Amino acid sequence: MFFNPYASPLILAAAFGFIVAGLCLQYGNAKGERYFAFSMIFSGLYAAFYTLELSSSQLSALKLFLVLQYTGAPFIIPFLLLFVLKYSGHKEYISKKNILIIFFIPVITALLVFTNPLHHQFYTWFEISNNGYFPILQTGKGVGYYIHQFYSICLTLLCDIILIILLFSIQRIFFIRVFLIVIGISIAWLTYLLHVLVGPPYGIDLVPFSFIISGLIFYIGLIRWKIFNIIPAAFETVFKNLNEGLLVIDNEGFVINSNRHAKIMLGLYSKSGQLRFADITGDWPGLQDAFEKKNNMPVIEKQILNEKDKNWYEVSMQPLREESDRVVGKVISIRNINKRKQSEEEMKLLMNLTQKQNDRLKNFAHIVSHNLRSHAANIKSLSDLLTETRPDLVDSEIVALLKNSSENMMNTISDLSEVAMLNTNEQNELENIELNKVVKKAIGHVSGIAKDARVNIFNHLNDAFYVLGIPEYLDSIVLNLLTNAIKYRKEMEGSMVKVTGEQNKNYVKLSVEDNGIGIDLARHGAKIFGLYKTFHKHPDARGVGLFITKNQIEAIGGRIEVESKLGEGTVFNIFFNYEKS
Amino acid sequence: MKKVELLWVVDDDPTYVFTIKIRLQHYGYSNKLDVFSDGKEAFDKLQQIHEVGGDLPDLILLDLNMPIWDGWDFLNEIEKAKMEDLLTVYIISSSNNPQDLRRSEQYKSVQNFFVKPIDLEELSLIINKEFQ
Repeated sequence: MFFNPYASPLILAAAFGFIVAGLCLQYGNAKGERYFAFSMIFSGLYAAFYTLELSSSQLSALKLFLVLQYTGAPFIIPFLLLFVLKYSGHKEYISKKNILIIFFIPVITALLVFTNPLHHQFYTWFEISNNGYFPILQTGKGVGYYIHQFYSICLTLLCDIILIILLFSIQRIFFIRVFLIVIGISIAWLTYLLHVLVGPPYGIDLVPFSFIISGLIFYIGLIRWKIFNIIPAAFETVFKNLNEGLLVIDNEGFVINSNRHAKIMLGLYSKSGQLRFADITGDWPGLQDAFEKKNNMPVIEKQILNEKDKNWYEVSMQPLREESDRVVGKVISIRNINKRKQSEEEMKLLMNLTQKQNDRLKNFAHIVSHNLRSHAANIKSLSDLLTETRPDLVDSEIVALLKNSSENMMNTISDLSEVAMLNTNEQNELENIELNKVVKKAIGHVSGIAKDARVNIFNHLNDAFYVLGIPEYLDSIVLNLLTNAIKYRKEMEGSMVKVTGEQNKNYVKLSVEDNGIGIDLARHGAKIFGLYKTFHKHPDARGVGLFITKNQIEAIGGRIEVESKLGEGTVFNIFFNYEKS
Repeated sequence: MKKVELLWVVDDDPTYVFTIKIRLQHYGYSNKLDVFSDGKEAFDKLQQIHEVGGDLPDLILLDLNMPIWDGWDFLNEIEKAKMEDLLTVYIISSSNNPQDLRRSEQYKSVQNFFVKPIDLEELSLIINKEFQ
């Protein structure tokens, strides 16, 4: 062994091989990086053992290091092929069977080399000569050697073909990445061709030397261009098979790429030659306008009715940028949105119908509120006037019943119009309302009847509660619950109504509790908030109040719950929303 | 102390007009009472009086739902003619729509809003406030 300065570049080649392999192994194997890493490791081995060969002068040592080079050399290209297959999106070819086929000859090659002393079918003879600078090993080549060489050339060719096809089918922005890989792979191969054509200069195998350049290119490719960060082939597959039409147009307005869907939509199959975008927009009113917009516009979206097939399409356009951010063209995507449009139309029709029905209902509420009410009001006024102006009729049963009936009619109309109006006010904006003010106001209203009924009202409400609601609704809700509590009291001393409140992170809870006659919830629970449901023989029970209350609470986004025990009392809990800042 | 010398009822419902007249008489109102059956009729008269500098009504009981010009039209025209400071209006309508109530609050001339049938208590509210 001696130090051969001419072999020292090979140390670099080996080092590059191992470094690039190490870098690649960090990436996983999504784009075939592991295959590439193995290829690099084997070329590293090849270069390393060749270094040792060139540093030896004894025949036995030279022979040993030559043989050891075959721990790497046969496997470089097969792993490269696996990488290229995966990188170009043909991973379906990487099956167990195919791997066995690909590696069959390399394994045989390695075995033949290691067993060469037995059969001399790989190298037929060995001899030391001197090229004028250092001793070199000269060998006679056997059948095995030529099979190995031929096979390697074939696989390399295959790799290059696959990569060159990829190179021409991908988007421009991926070009440099793939081009670097093509160059890196081809250099070793070209070196070998040179080797075959002009013979090894000074008896030196230049292929391991070429690994220095390949390694450098791959190293730069990995660090600077991030060749593995995106898979061009995957993008290509998406582009081709995307369920919408895609067109790539350059700055001069030429269509430079289009996928299958775009071709079908725009009828490009029947056209030939260089197509201008302007030539294919005939059936697409407005498409050309969208295209004419400035380059640096962000995404433009437009809905277009195609004049030919009468379908609706959504067209969006965005500038295509190079890595330097320079705009090199536009990407236009065209999506059929006819189904969506249709369901939108159906929805609109349905909305219209609902709107009409709602309007009719409002109209009805209006008639109830206005016309019916004015007649009923007149009858009531007249019956009142009758007894006022004719005192002799005060005791008449007919007049008394008439007054009673007109009163009932007024009540029914009031209730009904209130129920009808419940649904018509939903556009109302909710206001921030201080709950205690509402409660105080309602207590003020009922204080007269509460005093008459000898019911005590306790307000334990904290001032701080603000809830979201419609003022009239809140007044009506609280008033109705208080009135109910008074109305359904037990005839006893100590009847009371208690108003309490609490707030948590979700809601403000208002509780109205009484010690009145209570409701049999097991029997009536489901119906308690229903319309025209009464559970007591109370003269004023009309079965409207709680229905309205519940609807009003729900209209402002709240909810009401009831707890009650017959003979003991009732608690109504109302949960209001409040403004969360 | 104000004294109502001239009272207008603007309402298209004769039965209501009949009952309110009796009610007012019952409270001892014996001054002049004019009835108009729609907003335009009332406003035309108002304008006519205003032009010659005659006596404007001291109190107007206004219905909302009327043919030709409804109560709102009448109120709007009053504002347009800048007469809102000269008039005292009470709305007495069969509308119990809270939106109507809120809308009425935007008119300077409107003092209050009552839903028909206006009962004795409500009427006495008006009388105590507006009559002497």
